[in-house]
Amino acid sequence: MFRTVNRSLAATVMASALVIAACGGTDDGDGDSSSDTAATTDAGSEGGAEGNGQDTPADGDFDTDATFVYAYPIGVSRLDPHRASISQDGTTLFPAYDRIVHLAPQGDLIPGLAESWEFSDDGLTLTLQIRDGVTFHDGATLDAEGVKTNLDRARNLEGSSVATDLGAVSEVTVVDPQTVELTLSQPNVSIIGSLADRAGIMISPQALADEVDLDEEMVGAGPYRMTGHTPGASTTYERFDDYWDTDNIPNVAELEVRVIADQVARLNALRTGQISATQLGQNQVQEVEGDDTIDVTLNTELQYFYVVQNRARAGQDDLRVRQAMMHGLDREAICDALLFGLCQLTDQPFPPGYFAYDDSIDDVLYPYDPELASSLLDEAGVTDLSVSMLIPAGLPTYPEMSEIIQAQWGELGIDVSIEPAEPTQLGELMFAQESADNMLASWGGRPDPAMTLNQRMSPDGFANPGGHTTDAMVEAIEQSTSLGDPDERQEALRAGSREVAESVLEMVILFPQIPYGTAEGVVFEPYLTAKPEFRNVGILNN
Amino acid sequence: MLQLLIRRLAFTIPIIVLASFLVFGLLLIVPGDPAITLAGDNATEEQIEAIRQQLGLDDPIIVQYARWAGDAVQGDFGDSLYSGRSVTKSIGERLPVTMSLALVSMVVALMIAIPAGIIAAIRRGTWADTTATVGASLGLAMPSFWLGAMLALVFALRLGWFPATGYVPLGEDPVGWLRHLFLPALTLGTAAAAETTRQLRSSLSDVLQQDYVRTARAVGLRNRVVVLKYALKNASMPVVTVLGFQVAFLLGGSVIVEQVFALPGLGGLAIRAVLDRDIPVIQGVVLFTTVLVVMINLLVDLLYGWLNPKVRSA
Repeated sequence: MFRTVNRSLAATVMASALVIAACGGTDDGDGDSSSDTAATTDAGSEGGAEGNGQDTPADGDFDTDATFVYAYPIGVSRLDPHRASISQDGTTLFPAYDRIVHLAPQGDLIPGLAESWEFSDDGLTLTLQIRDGVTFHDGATLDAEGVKTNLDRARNLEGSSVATDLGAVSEVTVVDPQTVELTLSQPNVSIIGSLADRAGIMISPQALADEVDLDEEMVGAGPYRMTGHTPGASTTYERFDDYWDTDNIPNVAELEVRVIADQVARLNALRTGQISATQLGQNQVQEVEGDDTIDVTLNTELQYFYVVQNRARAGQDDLRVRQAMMHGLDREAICDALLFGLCQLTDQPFPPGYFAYDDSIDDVLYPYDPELASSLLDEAGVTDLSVSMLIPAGLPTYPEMSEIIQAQWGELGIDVSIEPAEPTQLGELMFAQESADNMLASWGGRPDPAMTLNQRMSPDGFANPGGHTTDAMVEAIEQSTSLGDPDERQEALRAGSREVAESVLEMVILFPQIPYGTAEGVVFEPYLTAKPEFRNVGILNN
Repeated sequence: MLQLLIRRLAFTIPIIVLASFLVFGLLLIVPGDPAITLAGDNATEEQIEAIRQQLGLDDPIIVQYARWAGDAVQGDFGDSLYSGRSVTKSIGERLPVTMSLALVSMVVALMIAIPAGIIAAIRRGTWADTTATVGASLGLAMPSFWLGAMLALVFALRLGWFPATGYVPLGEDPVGWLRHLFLPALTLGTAAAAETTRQLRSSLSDVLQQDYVRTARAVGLRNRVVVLKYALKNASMPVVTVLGFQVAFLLGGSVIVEQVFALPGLGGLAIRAVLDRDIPVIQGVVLFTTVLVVMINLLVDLLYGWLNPKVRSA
């Protein structure tokens, strides 16, 4: 009996394994694609936390006892917000920690714990009006004194990762219990963007006074209160009923941010109902197309692939040469080949729909036109152009993209030599040592768009090797970093973005569209900054 | 026995010291400077230098090694460059997951290998033997990431019998613990089972051809008793040795399996540390794992000595 059972068992297991392997993993099903291009990719929205084309569910539709689980690939570096070292930490920190300024899903900077702010005429003083009635998770209240304590900590703490973000601040002064003044050593409107990130996080003054271990506990004024944290695995929160924004008390009782590094494991977890929402890979979108229980939303974010040029070298200071190089790129083909067609093409350094994006010009100024490219090169008198291109070694997508670019530019007679380098050394090589003509990389965006323009396109911007720029650009940067009035500043930002496109001060290859998968009945809106916030998530009642 | 223990221990210490040299030395050759990443996006050269000094990355190698080794001996592997958390603490948090996985994988492996090895040995040359041998080869050939993905696809996604990802601590929910570990353990255990099956089959069939087995049968002992009680015990020595090596394999293979099934174990910690160039964590995890494997193999040697009295006096 023993041997019969074992023999047949072994045979069955082997046979089934072979059969199942042959069947493969694609779902059959109707071609009914639930790919839903979110309104975030369409043009223009000012402010507002909605902006999704779907109907906003009424409050009564939500299951208020539900738990929302989000799977994120990167665990938080540490819980102390002024020491947390990577921008992705925001996903885990922001549910518990509100900031002085907040971000709308579209990327607009909106009031947070400060209900308004104003720059002085000379741009050297920023006055914040602090909201009344804000309670922290431990019962403490927020006032100007508390804001000063936090900002001073952010600036002066040993090992602070946000000190440079507040570098322009020379002093923080309490004017009255609801008013704080920041004195700046030079005009810097971008500081508002910094105050929307970790530098603007307000920790409970009580917790600071009691010297709570902030790497073990998050004590903030956010919509969720932390209930548990296992580093690298998961962070759990519960709804904070005394949240100051009574219109936006969370719809769910509990929230969990779970770390799952592998994208297949994330999709598996989504499919088996273990999580509510997560980011998917472009290569996974087709796989879930037939699955009715999963909704896919495509979100264009601030990240884009680009070729940064040292425009002072290799004849790249001639606008015609740069335009030719752009016309010589078949960016649609690159997108189809590498990202399954899930991209947005534009020549501006911001995605369409972002408040700094200029919608008065065409999205794409330089469509694929190899003949025009050749004639532009002839006009510029360039016959044999040879450039070196740095790429990050060991990361996906870049090698393939660089080879396509090499082939496409090769047809124009431009010789590209590809040089892989350690990702952590790229900045050093390209920007500090200026050792190459070009670099293919991706720019992750900054909390404030003026920072992107300043760092990338100003004559002394650290990420502008060679320092080449145009007068129009310099003016746009100057205005967008000093004008206090939001509308005027937006005009300046748009002018800057337009100038980048028209003068090819950046070779924007493409903006990848990031797919987000949500389980059935889940309401979730991705953010343009790629750090989702969970203010308005919910699980619908069945 | 005590002599054996002392002799073996004397060997392990140089091994661990050598491993520590290698771990420390290799990391210094790796390019990439954690100080640059730690300083943040817009840091100046001075700030990067300040961080480098703060972390002691500028000191001579010998000094850095001595500092690290001195602390490590006391159980202090330093702090993570990124989170500031004690490396020992991080290892302690993740160790139960990896150990649970290794343990359940070992059990699964034995549950497959022992019957399969015995059947193959006593039915040597027959259909059963061929199946076991071919199965073992297949088990060795299948890469763990593929097998894990297949198992997840069939048993978690299609059939829903087991969860696709995640881990539940034993103390919290024993049934959940086992359910979450089953597919990962089956993935890892398959290769270990394959190796063990082959080893058992080979050593058992050798033993079964010995004179004393023939004598035992001739004397009238039932076949079952002969095989399971006498032959198996004698055949188990080489198998126990192989199992000792399997532990190292399981700890290493757990890295991939932990990613596929999203288990928060040492593997994930190690990968993250390597990508971040978080040197203290890498050094701590590697050295800790080395010590663990060395200790387990030491235990195997001692077990060997206990099982086979002839070895004790050698």
